[in-house]
Amino acid sequence: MNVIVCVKQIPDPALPGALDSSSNTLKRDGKLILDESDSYGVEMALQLVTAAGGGEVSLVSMAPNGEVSGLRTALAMGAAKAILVSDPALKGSDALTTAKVLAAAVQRLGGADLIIGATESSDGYTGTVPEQIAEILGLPSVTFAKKVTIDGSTMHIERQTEQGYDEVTSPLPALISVTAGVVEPRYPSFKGIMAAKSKPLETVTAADLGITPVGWDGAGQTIVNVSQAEARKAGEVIEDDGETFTKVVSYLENLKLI
Amino acid sequence: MTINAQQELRIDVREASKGVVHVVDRAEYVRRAREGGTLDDAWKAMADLGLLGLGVGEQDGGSGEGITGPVALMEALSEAGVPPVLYLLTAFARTAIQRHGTDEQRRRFLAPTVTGQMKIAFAITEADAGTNSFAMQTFAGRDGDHYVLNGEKLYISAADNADYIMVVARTTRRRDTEDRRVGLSVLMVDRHTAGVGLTPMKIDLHSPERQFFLHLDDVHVPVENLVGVQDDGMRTLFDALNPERLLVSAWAIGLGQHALQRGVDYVRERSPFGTPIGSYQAVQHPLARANAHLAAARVMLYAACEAFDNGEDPGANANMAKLLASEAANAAADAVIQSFGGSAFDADSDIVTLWPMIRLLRIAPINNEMILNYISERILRLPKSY
Ligand SMILES: Cc1cc2nc3c(=O)[nH]c(=O)nc-3n(C[C@H](O)[C@H](O)[C@H](O)COP(=O)(O)OP(=O)(O)OC[C@H]3O[C@@H](n4cnc5c(N)ncnc54)[C@H](O)[C@@H]3O)c2cc1C
Repeated sequence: MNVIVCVKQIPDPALPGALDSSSNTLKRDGKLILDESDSYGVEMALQLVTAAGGGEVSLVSMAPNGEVSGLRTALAMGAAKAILVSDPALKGSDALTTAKVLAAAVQRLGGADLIIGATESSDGYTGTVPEQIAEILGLPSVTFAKKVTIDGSTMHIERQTEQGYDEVTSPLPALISVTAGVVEPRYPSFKGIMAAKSKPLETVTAADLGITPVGWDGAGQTIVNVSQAEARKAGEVIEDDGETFTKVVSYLENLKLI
Repeated sequence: MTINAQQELRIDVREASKGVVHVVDRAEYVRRAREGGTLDDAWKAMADLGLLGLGVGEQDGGSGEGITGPVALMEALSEAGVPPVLYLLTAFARTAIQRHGTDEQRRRFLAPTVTGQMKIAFAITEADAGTNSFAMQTFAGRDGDHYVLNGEKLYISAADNADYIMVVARTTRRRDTEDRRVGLSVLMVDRHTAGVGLTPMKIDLHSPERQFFLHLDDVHVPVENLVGVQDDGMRTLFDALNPERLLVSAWAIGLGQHALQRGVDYVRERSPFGTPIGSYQAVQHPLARANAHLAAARVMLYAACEAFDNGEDPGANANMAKLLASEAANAAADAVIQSFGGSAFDADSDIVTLWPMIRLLRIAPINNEMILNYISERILRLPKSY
């Protein structure tokens, strides 16, 4: 079984981020790392391939400046090969263009039985790219996958909902987006890190993939304004009067956590 | 190894060490120091992540010889605030075995350390033989196919968790030799042999790894556990104590950098007069200076590793690296304690808890005065002073 994971490489969230005031987009000119959101997809893909008893995990990524650090991390975890789409012309690309580029990269790899994306990335996100890729490739897609098992050419998915989960069945090939925290991503071993250096990693441009127009020209959406996120409100303090548990329970019920 | 290759190895080791820190982070390390608990799980992670193979040749299951890899690992884990001292001891004991052991010893002692099945402590210090190791009394008398070992060592780190202890003993008594350097031997002692006893010492180091009195009462050590040549243990020790200095430098630099980062994070926030104290030059400069000194010590350290790995005499470089690293770490910790003010002394801030270990590194494994003596005599060619 072959799986392709769409991975995003993002500025280190531990460092203060910055916006480009002229375009209202996130500055991504420094070192980029593997988005933690995607480490779950990579882990799930590796587990599925192991469970299937054969096949490999490949990666597609779109990032500026030929940045490959995040891809190397995913290769070190155990993925076999990667395609990076990096092209100054892609600057300003919206979600749909990103999906077109990634879909073309998936096709360049010859497709796969399963394509995995994260529900949403951690830096700047619309939460729509994976489903757009599925649409472009004409594949069924299942969002919020928290558990996946493969049975021949059928996939069983537990799909996270507010109440619990739906049990969904889908034929393969298909695309899923996985939620954070559903598997525990492995830490790359020293051998894995060394091996990743010599794994195939192809860098291509949008033109190589035949996708035009891209970047600002191809964007059907513009960011017109950016505003400060509202400061988080102070939490609620409950005095313990012996009946506190009822308040805690109703608080959790309100959040639909219980 | 070129500087680039060395730099790349350092980055790769650091990356792989994240899986160890995930198992035991600084908070967990401090908790275990306080409440008890070993670093066994961190050790297992090091084995699983292939990190214990650093410094060991591929024929023994490792990823390649050289001290640079173990030094990079010690630096990375120390910088994360979780320095594994038994790893440091095992790593340099291995170097001595690599360079002076028989094929049989390499097979017995190297491969099991790569899988994490064997850990090695080191015992040289005695109550009246610390700086002056030649004064040691521990004696191993040859009796047929074994030695009979008697004596008492102290400050032996993590001995309770070690499978073997590399013990330095006299095989010729001091009174029977003119040259004080003659008559020492290096023995691998199975910790579970009859006659080996441990008593915990009361050492306030804030580490989960503890120090012990090591009692050796008629311990039978097979002759095949002698590493190197009987009575010429100094030659074997040379390839244990130089790498030890390199690993200790990495420990100091890593821990100093850890303290410094914690200090920088704190001064960015703490604002008794409304603006962060980190905006005052008086606060910035000691931290900035510490960063420069740590960086300089690091350059010295990796240059020394390079010399060691190339088979050059590493003595001068290893000693100078240890001096600079321990001084830089001390200055960093001091600046950070000053920046934290009173809260440095609140156990929960875990700042003053860093101090004993960082301070120790100016004294152990060799005090900085002895290093200055070495530089005076060997490099500056001044007369011996003691
Ligand atoms: C936490 C801890 C862990 C340790 N772990 C181990 C271990 O695992 N295995 C092991 O074998 N040992 C270990 N040691 C022992 C350590 O290596 C010794 O404490 C160290 O070598 C100093 O010896 P000493 O304590 O006898 O000091 P002394 O020899 O009494 O020296 C005291 C001081 O006198 C000065 N001094 C001494 N000689 C000279 C000189 N010639 N010139 C100038 N100044 C001099 C120095 O300032 C020195 O610090 C450990 C010690 C500690 C505290």
